[in-house]
Amino acid sequence: MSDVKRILYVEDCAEDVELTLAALEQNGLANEVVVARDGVEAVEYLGRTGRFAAEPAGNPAVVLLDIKMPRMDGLEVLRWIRTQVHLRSLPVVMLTSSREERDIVESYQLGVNAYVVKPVAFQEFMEAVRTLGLFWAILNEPGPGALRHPAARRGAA
Amino acid sequence: MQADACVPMDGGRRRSCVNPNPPSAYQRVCRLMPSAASAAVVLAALVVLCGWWMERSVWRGQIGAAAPMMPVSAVTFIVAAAALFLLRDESRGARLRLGGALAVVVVASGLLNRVEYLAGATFGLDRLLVADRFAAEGASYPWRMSAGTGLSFILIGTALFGLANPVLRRLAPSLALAVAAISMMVLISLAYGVVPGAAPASKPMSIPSAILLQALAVGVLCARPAWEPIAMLGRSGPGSVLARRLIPAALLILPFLGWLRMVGGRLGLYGHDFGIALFVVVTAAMVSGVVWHTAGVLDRMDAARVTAEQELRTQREQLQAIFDNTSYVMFIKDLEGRYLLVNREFERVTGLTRQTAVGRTVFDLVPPEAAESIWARERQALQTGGPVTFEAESSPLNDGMHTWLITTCPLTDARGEPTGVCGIVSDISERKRAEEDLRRAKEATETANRELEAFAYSVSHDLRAPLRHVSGFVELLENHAGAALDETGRKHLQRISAAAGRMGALIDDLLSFSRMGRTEMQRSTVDLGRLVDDVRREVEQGAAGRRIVWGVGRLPSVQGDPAMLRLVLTNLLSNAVKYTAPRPEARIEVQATRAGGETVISVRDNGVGFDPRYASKLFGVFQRLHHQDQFEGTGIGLANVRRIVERHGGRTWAEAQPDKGASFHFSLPEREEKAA
Repeated sequence: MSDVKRILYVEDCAEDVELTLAALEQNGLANEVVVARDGVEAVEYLGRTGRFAAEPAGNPAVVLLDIKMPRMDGLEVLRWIRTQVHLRSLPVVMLTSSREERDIVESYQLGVNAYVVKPVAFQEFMEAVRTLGLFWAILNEPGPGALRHPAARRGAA
Repeated sequence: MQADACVPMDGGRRRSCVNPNPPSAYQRVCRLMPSAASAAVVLAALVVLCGWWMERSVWRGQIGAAAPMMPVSAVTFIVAAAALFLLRDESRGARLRLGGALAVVVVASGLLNRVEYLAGATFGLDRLLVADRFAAEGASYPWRMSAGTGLSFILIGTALFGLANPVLRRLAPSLALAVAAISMMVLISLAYGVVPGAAPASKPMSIPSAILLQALAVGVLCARPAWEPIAMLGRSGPGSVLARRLIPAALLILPFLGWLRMVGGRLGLYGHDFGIALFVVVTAAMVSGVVWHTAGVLDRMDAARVTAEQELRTQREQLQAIFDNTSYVMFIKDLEGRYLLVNREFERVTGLTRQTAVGRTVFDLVPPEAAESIWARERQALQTGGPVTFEAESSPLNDGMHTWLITTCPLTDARGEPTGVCGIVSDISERKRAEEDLRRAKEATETANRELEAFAYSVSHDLRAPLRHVSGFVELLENHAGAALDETGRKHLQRISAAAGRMGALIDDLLSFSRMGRTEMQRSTVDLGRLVDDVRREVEQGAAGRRIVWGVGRLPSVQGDPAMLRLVLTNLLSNAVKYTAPRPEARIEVQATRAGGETVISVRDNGVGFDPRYASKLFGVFQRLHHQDQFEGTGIGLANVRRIVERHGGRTWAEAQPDKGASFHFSLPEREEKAA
């Protein structure tokens, strides 16, 4: 397995976090995942403020973003990201339960890179998370400003 | 002539045609008379003048012992005829002034004659016109016109001036009649061989003068047919008919009989007394005859009038019946807004009787503001001359506010003069309420739709997540502790997993059904034949290894949403494939027929069918007629079919027998309708 890049996972639901991490773990992608529990935390992480102030600089390879969250929802986070100069090209993937047309339309209008509806069946969910992780964390070459994680962690899987 | 002329009335505010009927023969003759009289007078006067110049005594009017018409008289007649011609109708301006001036000349000529008689002198104007040599002839007449002619010129000249002058106009007809009487007297005297007024200082009026004075008098009378008394002869009433017949009779018959009697007496046919008796009898007989005939005419006129009145009364009864039996409030008001005529519905709504309503105004019936706005609209109708329709609110029945639709129209009399307004009022409160209810219902529906959307959104998000968790953690549990579980335990886990999956499918279907009702329709032309081919290939992929015989007929193109119609056909064809599964050879037919302005598409199969008693349930949400373990499905497909077809303005229905196949039909209107 080649370079695994950092993923920012924004999700308020503990069960979803656990299942997604389990799925990523099965595919050896879990070690570079930062979890934000809502939109505000995601913005704090990306801006290195609040409890993420001490984190090393650099953008994640991809942001996996839920839509419906307390305080600040996924669409607001996405809108904020697209207004930030250093984040404008950051890949963002909606990972959500919503199949609603207007959510999909609005996400693409705000410049999302992909929109994935979480499948109910676990096998399909595993497959979806695996595909996402492989593509964004390994295959895709991130734009400038992405965090190159330390070589020591390479091959941890 | 005024009869067919549009004359300005009321100071020119509006023009109105007094008599729109074509002029009668009497009126046409009357109109020609002034011109004809002028022409005849001028011609005759010229002949007289020529008689003087060419020494023809007969041309001058010297018949037997009768006096000639004098040259000055002839010239005065020409001037009078010119005045009559200029004043023959109600012209204005130069013609009027010139005509008046000529009339003054005529009067002057007559006055000059008067002066001659009073002064006992002869001015000899005539001699200026004809050569002096006639004097040498030892004429038996003095060189001046007769006193009667002179007087008549004063009268007829004043009458002519009266045609041009508003002050003297009232005198004109009387003066003309006086002239007619004088000249008539002269003519009759001459006819009877009597020389009237043969005083030594006087001389008799000449025959042509008397005739021409008659002509001028008639011309003056006819020049203003609208003036009394000549107007009386022109009207259509029975009095006028009587006058038209009896006056000429009196003027012609009596002199003629008198003349006959005298001639007979002179010839010695009968004695004096017998002559009088004869005259009286014949006069009585002829007058009776004229009266008899006239009475018949009047009777016929009266009969026609009675018939017309009856017809009018019949029409009035008919209109009254309509007026009183309509559900509209109707009324007629005068120009001051007072009710003149109201109908029964008016009485019911206002609580007033006819007798008490007449004379009141709308201000007595409704509050001042409402009354003012109604009266304003009625005045508007009067001003514009056309109907005005408007709405007004009032509560005359003490059962809440009513909305009235009022049409008001101006009413005019036969001459086009405004007399009042009509009102036709209908109670549209029900319609208003219905419109208001409809608007509220629409608002409520829109609110409900918004709520439904919010609900669906939250279902989409919140209901699916726990399911995903259930199936996810079951999976993790199986991975983690699968080995420790026995067969039953593992089966339970599978059940939990399957149930979660099934619930996920139900939620997805429900959301898709909800979306189907909410999403905007994208209409275009859809080729049903091609669509069925596509869908058939699609559903066949899920039925590998099955023997299916397809019978697809000719299918038309229809108007509709392509994606929605594809879903309809996908549901119907996949159902057909699903429920023919037990058959060794499935037969599925798709046909289209056109009838009654719609296209009906039918899908028939030879599958397991269903019990027709439950056919009505088929198209309901999550309604199924088969058990899950027989045929899988959530029961949303046909509900979607019905919802889509109904949004296209069509219908859905099905028929079947258990085990004998099923037919599903849906119709699409050919003409595009506005569907929800």
